[in-house]
Amino acid sequence: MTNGWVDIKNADVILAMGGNPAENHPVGFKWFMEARRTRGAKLVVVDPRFTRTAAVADVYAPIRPGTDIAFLLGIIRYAIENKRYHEDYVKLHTNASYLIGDQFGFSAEDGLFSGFDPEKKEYARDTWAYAVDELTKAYKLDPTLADGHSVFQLLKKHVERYTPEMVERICGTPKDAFLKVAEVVASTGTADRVGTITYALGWTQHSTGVQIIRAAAILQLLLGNVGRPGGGVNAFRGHSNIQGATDTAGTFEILPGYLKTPTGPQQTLAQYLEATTPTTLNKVAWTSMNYWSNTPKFMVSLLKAIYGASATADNEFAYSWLPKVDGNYSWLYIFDDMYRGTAKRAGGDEPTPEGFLSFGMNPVGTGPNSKKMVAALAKLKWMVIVENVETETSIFWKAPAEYEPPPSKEIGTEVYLLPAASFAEKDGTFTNSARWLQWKWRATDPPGQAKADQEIVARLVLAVRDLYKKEGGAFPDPVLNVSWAYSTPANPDLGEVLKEMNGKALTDVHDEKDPTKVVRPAGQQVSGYGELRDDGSTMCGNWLHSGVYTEAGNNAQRRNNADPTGLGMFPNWGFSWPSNRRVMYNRASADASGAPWDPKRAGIRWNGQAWVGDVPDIKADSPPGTFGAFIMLPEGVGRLFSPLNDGPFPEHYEAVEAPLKNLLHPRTSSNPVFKKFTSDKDKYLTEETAKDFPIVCTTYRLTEHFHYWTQHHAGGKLNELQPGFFIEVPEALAQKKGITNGSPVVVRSARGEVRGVAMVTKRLPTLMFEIDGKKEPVWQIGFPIHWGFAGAKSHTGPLANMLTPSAMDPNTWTPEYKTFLVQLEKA
Amino acid sequence: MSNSPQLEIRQRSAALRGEQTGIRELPVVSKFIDTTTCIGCKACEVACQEWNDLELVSTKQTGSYQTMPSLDPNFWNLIKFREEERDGALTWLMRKDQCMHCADPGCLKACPAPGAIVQYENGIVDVNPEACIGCGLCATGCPFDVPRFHAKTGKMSKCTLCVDRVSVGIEPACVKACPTGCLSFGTKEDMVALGEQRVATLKANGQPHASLYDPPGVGGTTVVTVLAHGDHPEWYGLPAEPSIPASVWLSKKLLKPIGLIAMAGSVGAAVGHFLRFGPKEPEAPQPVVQPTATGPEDVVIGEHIVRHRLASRVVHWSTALCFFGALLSGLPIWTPIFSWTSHLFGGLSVCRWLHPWFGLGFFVATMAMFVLWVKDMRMEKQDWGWFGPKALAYFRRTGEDPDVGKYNGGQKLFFYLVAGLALLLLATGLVLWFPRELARPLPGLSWVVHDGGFLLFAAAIVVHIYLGTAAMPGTFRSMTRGTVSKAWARLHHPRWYRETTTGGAAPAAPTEPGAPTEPGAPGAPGAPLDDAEAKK
Repeated sequence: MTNGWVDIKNADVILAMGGNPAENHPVGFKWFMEARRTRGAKLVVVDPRFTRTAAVADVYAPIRPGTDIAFLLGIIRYAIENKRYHEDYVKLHTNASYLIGDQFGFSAEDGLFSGFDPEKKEYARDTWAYAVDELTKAYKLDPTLADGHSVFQLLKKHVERYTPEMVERICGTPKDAFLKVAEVVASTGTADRVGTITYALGWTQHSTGVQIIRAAAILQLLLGNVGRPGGGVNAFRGHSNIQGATDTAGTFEILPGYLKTPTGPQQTLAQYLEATTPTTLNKVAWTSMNYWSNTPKFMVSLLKAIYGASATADNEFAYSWLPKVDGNYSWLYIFDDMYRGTAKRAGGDEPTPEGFLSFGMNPVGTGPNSKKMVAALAKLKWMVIVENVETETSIFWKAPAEYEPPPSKEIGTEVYLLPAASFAEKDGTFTNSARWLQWKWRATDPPGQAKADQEIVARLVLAVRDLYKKEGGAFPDPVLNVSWAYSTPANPDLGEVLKEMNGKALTDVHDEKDPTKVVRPAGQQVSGYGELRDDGSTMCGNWLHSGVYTEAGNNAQRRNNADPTGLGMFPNWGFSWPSNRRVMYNRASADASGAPWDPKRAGIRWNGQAWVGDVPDIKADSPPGTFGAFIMLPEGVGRLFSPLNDGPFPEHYEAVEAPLKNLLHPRTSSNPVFKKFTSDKDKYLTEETAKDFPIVCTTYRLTEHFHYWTQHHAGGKLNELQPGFFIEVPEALAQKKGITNGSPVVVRSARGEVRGVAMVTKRLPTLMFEIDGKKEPVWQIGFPIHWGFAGAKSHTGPLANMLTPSAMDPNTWTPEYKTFLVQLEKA
Repeated sequence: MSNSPQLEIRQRSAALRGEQTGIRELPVVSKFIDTTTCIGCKACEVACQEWNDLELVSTKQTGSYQTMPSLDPNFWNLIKFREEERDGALTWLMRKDQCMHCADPGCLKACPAPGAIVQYENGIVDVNPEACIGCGLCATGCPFDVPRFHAKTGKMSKCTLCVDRVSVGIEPACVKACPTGCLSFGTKEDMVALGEQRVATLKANGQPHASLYDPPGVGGTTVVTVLAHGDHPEWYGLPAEPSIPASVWLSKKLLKPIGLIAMAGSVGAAVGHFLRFGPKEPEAPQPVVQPTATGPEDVVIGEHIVRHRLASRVVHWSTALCFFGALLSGLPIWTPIFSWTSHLFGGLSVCRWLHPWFGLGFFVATMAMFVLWVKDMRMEKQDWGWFGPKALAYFRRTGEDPDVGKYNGGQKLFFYLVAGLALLLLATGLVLWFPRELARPLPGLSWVVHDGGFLLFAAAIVVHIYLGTAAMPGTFRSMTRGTVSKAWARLHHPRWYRETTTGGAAPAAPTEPGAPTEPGAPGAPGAPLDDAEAKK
């Protein structure tokens, strides 16, 4: 979240789209209700289903799954055409006035941006760059926004096609309903009004997931809603600590604090820093803090945290010991390797994975195309599962016949199940969606032999290190030299780990401008990432979390509920990264003079000497006009135009499995650069076979259940609140198929089938589309995840992912769980 | 029941006196439910289960988000889900169903067990399991279908509004758990103000039908609910105009005084009749020696005639035993005036347990009696006169009917009345035995009919006993020894007398009363048995 949970109460309009917060985030949802109750905020819900959130919404509009970009670009067009955008904000805080190089282009007929390589199905992004003045070596700008190459004009042209009529034809949303949403959302494009957009996995789990979120970001920038209390683009995370996991190298391409993982060509630290430290050409209106220019400080401090005294200036702080990736190691790719038995990467053939260590993860349950997940694990030599319940993964070889597991005798995988402590049985922090690190205390000891994760990891580290000490190995250095300076090495205290993540001065840290001044004496915790250095004098496990455990103590444990701004920022409650900032990009909450757009909801304001209010993103004593609000971007302003792997602007593409051809460019119907696999288990519908699977299906979660966990508690009451797998079917479709409520049905996709009880409902709207010149319905059904073949016997059921395709977003490799095609029959 | 001031009791069920007075006045508490901010997350359901330590209820997926079809003895708080379309717009309504804690609680009014349901001064209506007898009558008094019978504890079970929490100054568990602020807790005054404010906001925001549900029919409810579609409370599973069902009024206010009067009246009538008319006895003295019959009926044994053979007597007394068992165990349930009779059995809960078994026994015995006697009970032409002048003449002793057979018309009518009432009491009794199994309003209706039937019976039985004892000496032994004297027979049942003594010939030539026939003498008509033989 750019903002935070409590901040939602400051909104005038809340657009909940690509998520069902009432269902999945009921506790945070209180702030939606608070906004409605106390300030008469309008809650707008756009969803393929009439959800629990829709049940309490002021405005609801139905939409066909996978067409969110068309809908959002429609609102953007509406805002531009009707001059409902926040012009002052757009000119001041976005790259609307920036000119793009004239090689950039977009073919509306082909649906392709310039630079497309049809062979590789990839874009070369070099034509998507800002125009640079050859003389001044600065970005070219047109403050009037009139230049045809300006981002604003390019955007305006790009969204021209998304008229309300076109939105209706693509999304199925009746024009009136769309216009109502557009009107309410665009009403926040003024200084005195502000709106927020909230989303969750309903946006990310598409082959166009990142671009949907980009569209939301563009809309919010146009309406002047980013950086302001009550505004922002707010992702609701799906687990209690998924934000913390992502911050701390949750995926292969990032190191802690979103530093980039070194790649093959970056063999030295100098090469790495050269490639990953951005420079700015912004010399016009104001400069950017270009905060990533501090990458060397963050990286060197991280290396000092990993390798301790072994990381010295002479050995480039042991940079050479870090692995360098030469391809995609996203977990679905690793499973693909496992299944196919080969691993080709840019660096050449690699040995296929022979073992798998899984901490609190259930890939058989959560991965797309369950049959392939099962088959992949069957090829391993060993697998270690660290879990507090038995999961589908830990008993994959017991999968029922419909998962097509290989015969047991052919499976050589040796499985170890290590019992782990649950969340209530261990200390530590949760980082919530609002980026707040909040310490939690152990409520009870783990049962039996179960151990906390850190103890399991630590014992592994120590054991592996001993083995390397005794037996040597191909490359022992990184293992032998890893810093493990905890007072109880076999079971590190998480307070010590948090201190390490915060960082400390190893030698005296001096003021960068005045080297005689010591800002942090050796041995002390740093107060924040501003004190980190690239000379080895500091260490820091995660620069982004720096400030969480300072000399003042463990700030994640703070529980002071004082709210001096009255906006629900609670500066002394826990710790909000970065720098305890509650609203990111908060410089954008004020105008050019530093006065807040809305004095009643001031994020920060310039009082003549300093910025006051929230913790400012920019230097607290830098007068207005010094720095841009978007400090992490080299240009310092928010991006309406932002090169991603699949384009610099969002464009409507159909899902990989969609019931309709792309109306705008049938030749490029789905995302031209989406990722998929090629094994025999990876089945995708073709244009021909799709005719037999006419129904759109989507998957979701239920508030009564927690992932794949609640089903494991036979005596647990949560099961009884929503007992058993079901399939939601719209009334009209049920009538057509002779399906009655509560009767058994079967759903088939190209990959498998699931059986369950039909829940016949009005809550799945029937949307009409022009098909071969006639108005016809496109049916949609859906079912929840949560069930599987593991767990208490009375609570088992089909895995929803039996049906889902491994069609992935090209930026995040997140599979398209939310839209695929199926058949539905009575069982 | 602690000494907490919050727990002062305003009224209790089955109390002989009305509302308590002179207790400290306390503000009425209230739970406010705003259905327009309810997301049906069921946190309240879980909190209720956890706080009240209720057992797991097994459920089944039947195609609904609703946890179970309706409240359960172990599930006091249920979100009811419903999809409705209004003016083409879909709504998905969710309402927290629970005890409404009426100001005028029908359950308390209907409850027969003293103090089993209490209303505290703060408005909370609570079941006291110590006093509850699990009869289920409270459910018949509830217009919201809330109380449930808990088979395991044998007690009624429902939301207590977390009286244990409220009495120490904290809100109910559901309110504590609610994440959206859809639930609030405070004084009734404050909650109504909050509700009215919310309704005004909703009306201003395009919800013209919004209203606050606080139905006057039950004196208002402690649980007040904001409904967006206030004109359709039934969409939320709420009755439009709830009031205490008529069965409670009929039973408690109408039948109870009538019944008491009827019972007292029948006793008074019997006494009065006796004083006025005295016993109706044969002029000749009845023989002192009274043989006991063991053989067939309608045979002469000396000066006596066998009127009821052993089987008939056994069945009759079984019926009587069950009847009085049912009566004495039922009376304290009917009204606390008779609570003293409950001590005969070991308390009201035992009565609740025994009463249906007595009732069942009564029915079985009555049916056996019916089978045994029905052949003698055929209604004859003259018997119909007993619906009018004959009965009057009988009681006033103004006319003798020489054609009375073994049973007179009144007896026959009483016989059929008993059989019919037994059937009626069984049918309604079964409904009341298992009230949870049947759909409303059947239990309430059964309650009224059962009460009415039993009152008729209670009054009739006084007459029956009077006639069988004091009014007609010599009658009672027909049900002990099985025999009556010839004189008795000639007086009360002349035709029967003729038939048994002469083989059923013409009414002429009545046998001399007290005609010498040696008891047990061989050759006497029928199958004479002497006492000694009868005792074998």
